[in-house]
Amino acid sequence: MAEPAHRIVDDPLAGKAAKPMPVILLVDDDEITRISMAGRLKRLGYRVIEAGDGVAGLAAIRAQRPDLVILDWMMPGLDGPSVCEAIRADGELRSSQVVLMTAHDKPEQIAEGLSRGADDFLSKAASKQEVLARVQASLRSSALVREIERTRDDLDRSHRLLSAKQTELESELQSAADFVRAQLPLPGMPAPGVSMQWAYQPSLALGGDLFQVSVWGSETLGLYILDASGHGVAAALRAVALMTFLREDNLAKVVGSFDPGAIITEANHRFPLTQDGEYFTLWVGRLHLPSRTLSYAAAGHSGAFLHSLQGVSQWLSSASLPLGFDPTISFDSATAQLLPRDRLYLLSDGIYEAPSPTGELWGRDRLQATLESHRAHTLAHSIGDTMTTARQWLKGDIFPDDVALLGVEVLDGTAPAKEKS
Amino acid sequence: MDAQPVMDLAAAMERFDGDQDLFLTLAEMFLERSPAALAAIQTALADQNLPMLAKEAHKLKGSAMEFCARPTVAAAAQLEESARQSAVSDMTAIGERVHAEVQRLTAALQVIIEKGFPS
Repeated sequence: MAEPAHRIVDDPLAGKAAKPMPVILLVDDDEITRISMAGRLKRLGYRVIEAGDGVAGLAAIRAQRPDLVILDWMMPGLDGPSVCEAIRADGELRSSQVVLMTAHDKPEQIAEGLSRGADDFLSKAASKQEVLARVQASLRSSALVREIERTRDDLDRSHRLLSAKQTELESELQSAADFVRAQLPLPGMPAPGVSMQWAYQPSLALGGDLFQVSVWGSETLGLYILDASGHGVAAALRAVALMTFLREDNLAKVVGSFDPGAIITEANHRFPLTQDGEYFTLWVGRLHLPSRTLSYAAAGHSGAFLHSLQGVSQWLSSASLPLGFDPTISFDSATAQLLPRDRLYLLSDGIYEAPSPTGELWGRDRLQATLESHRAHTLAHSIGDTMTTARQWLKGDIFPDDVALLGVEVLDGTAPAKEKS
Repeated sequence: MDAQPVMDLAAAMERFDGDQDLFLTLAEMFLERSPAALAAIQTALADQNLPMLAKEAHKLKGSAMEFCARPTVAAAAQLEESARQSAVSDMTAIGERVHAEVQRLTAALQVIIEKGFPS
């Protein structure tokens, strides 16, 4: 009758204060069975909550979120299997670990219990060892499920954070892209007697290929196309910096001339190779409107094609280093004579290096042939159709590199009008 | 059947992990409630209320199981099964056996409550 010595080990988990005691909800309408089982579970070191019927049991599950629910099968009102079904139908409670307890041990009953949502079975006649083994196994499952749920919740939270960040970044990128696009010329007539159209499709939101056509002084039109190596934000920022250098007022101040060779020579000083090995290629042209004489120079950029209706069509490029490779060299201008209705195209390599699905590049010859085939069409039409043909070659809409295609047409009568004046 | 011991006290104590207080608490509850349980069974038998009979027999079986009182468990289980299978002809006899076994069990529990656990 004396207090048994094993009282000391009453609570096997008491010493492991770091680990919270698992909570078991015991639902049974028969008080004797419930008190007996609750006593056994408490002796095994678990905290036990008791409920006397299915409805109270469901309420306790919602309120306490026990680690394990042990449910009597036969109860007035909501019986054990019905409680199981209610748990599985509830999104919040669905992952609860549920053991059905019964005085029967018939296989068909076990099957029914499992099919209605129980995780395991416990016979009321089970030995202490069996109770312990089943409860421990169920608690292990329960702990794993909870860990998975926590991980899932963590992932959800991280995903939401990342999505928000992504949205923010995309919005900033879009602002930057809008800014870069705003630097490009407005299609139309940059100078009397000259029409201009372009198409621009960066491979990412931001492109490193930029171009400009603007009046330099009273009778000349300045035009250029530049290509910052790399893609994305870094390339775009560097491209905008070079664009700022190429503004008319800046050129007048720091170069003191609009000679393309002099401009590129100065740019070559000011834009050395970056530490990451990034650089620019640049083509600069200066069209004297009264004489239709084009002087031009290039630093590693070969994207200028003169399509002449009456004269000789030619690529206006020369073998030259990109900007910043050798600060000591100087760049010279070359000249070309434009005739009325000649078209000058400036373009990025992204268009003629568009790969077909098999990897074959579109190539400058095909590009040239396409541009020439549109001779009879308007400039806008020619630019639009050439982009379409390039996309057809690519069999897609997304070019792997930035694509820019700018066309300038010297209209009939421009030069004669000027020559008369 | 009467030859079988009314309960396996050692097994029951093993079940309660040696907690005599818990055993005594449950034994007292059983003594308190068994008259009502037997009366309910009697009424269900008289009324031929088979669902009620099955339910009451099931409950009694569960409680007796706690004391490892095999004869009571067996009789209650048989009554429950008969009620479920509507085997009306056997029921009165089985009902009497349940009554007798419960009496034996309560007497044995009474002895333990009053005189303590056999050493």
